[in-house]
Amino acid sequence: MPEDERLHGEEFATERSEPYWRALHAGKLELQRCRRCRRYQHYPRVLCRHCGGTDLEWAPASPAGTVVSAVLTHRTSKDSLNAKLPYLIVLVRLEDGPILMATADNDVSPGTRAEIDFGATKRRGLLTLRTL
Amino acid sequence: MTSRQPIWITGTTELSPEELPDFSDPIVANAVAIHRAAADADIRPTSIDAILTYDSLTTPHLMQATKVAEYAGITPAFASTLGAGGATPLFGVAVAAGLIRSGWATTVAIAHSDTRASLKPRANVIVQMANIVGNREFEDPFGAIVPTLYSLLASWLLSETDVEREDLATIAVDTRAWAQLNSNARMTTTLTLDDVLTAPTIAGPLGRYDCCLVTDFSGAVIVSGDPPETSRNARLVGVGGAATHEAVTQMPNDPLAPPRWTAERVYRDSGLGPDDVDVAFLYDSFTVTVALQVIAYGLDHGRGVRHLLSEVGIGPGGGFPVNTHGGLLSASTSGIFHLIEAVHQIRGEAGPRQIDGARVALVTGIGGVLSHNCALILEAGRDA
Repeated sequence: MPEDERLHGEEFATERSEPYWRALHAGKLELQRCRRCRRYQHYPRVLCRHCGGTDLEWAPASPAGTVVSAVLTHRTSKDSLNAKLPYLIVLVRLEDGPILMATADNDVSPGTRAEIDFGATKRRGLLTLRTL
Repeated sequence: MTSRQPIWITGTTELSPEELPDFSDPIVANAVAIHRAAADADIRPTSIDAILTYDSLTTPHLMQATKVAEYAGITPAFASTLGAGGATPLFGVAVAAGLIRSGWATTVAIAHSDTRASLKPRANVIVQMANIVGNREFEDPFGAIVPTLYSLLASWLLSETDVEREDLATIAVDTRAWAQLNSNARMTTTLTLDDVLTAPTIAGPLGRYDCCLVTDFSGAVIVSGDPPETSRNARLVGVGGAATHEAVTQMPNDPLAPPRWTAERVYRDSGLGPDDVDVAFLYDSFTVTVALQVIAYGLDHGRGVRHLLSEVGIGPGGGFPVNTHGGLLSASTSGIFHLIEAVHQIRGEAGPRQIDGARVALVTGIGGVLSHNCALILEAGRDA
């Protein structure tokens, strides 16, 4: 991946997490799933957080879920985001279980059904949601 | 087999804001605080056989507790720096009780000192703390500072319960009113509901006065298995904890589960319940942290946070005093002072803040984003 197309956070990608980023660039969500208990987890690990199994695979996951919380932040720890303030930081619980942190346009609140907007994610360089 | 040998908090100290600049190295401050806490406990510092500290965020040391022991001229059997974030001082008491009940130590000093306000520029400590909590690959890119992470919990709380923004503001106002009675508190000007609600927003519902202070501080306590001479002293009667996650995206499905489990454990361990608690010291990193715990610990007796705040009252003159020293919101930035004030209340030494008949105190501490919870119940000793 050319450096200027990388998403924020991708600079810390490891061999273990690389499939997640590759799928995101391809407009898909793939998450780690346990072959033993069939449950998803994110971030990727060497073992399953649910059952301790070590036979893990990358599997397509639904990009849709429900917003758990949404906060308009007026402060940021990232200099690169100063110009965007205030912006939304959202926790979304995916249909497949894991909670992801994302940003969104300012029309989401807890309970809102939303999905990953892959186009906006690439443009912003940050995982971005749109309402369903 | 469980040993239930009585455990006491026999000494406490807080270095005053005026003298803190004289001890600007957290290691030095911890050493001084331990000597003073020993004096308060009426023991020789050399009788301390375990030292537990919570490392400085601004000047961390690989073996801080060992360095503190060396500086203080104490040669304990054990010296260890514990790391459970804001729960550390209380977890220290749990560790101390275990060491004492095992017979591996008799007298344990717990200290926490830091120079968070002196660090320049000031904003660095906020960013530094943001970089400690979370996940650099999947969370840090969003630039969340710790208030943003707690605001995510506030957003959830306000949407899932009948708690409202004004309730959070009331917690800040009542805590400030207590701080006005504490000469060691850093923020003592009167705070009104309007001040809190119109203050600059930091993140989501949380504004400036919903966030804890960033101060320098130093405090220590002595934990001992030897009964104190006076009958009115603080006895440890219950411990509970829950460490469920570190990063906010890894929290349990019920965000309230960590403090709920901690509450269940501390109540079971003590054989007491919310009805027995006379005064509570709830970790108040943010106003929302208090509201979440009021529910989790059943301190609203199922009637809701607003009922507790407006009908019962948690401030001076209220029916259920909370954080009588002014907490992290208005006094200073370590949970060790929640513990110290609980001891003061039980001893009847809280001066203008004294609650008549304070016999049972609940004390909580939280590290991370509701990540590592720890709770203690202290009771006035009867059978010394």
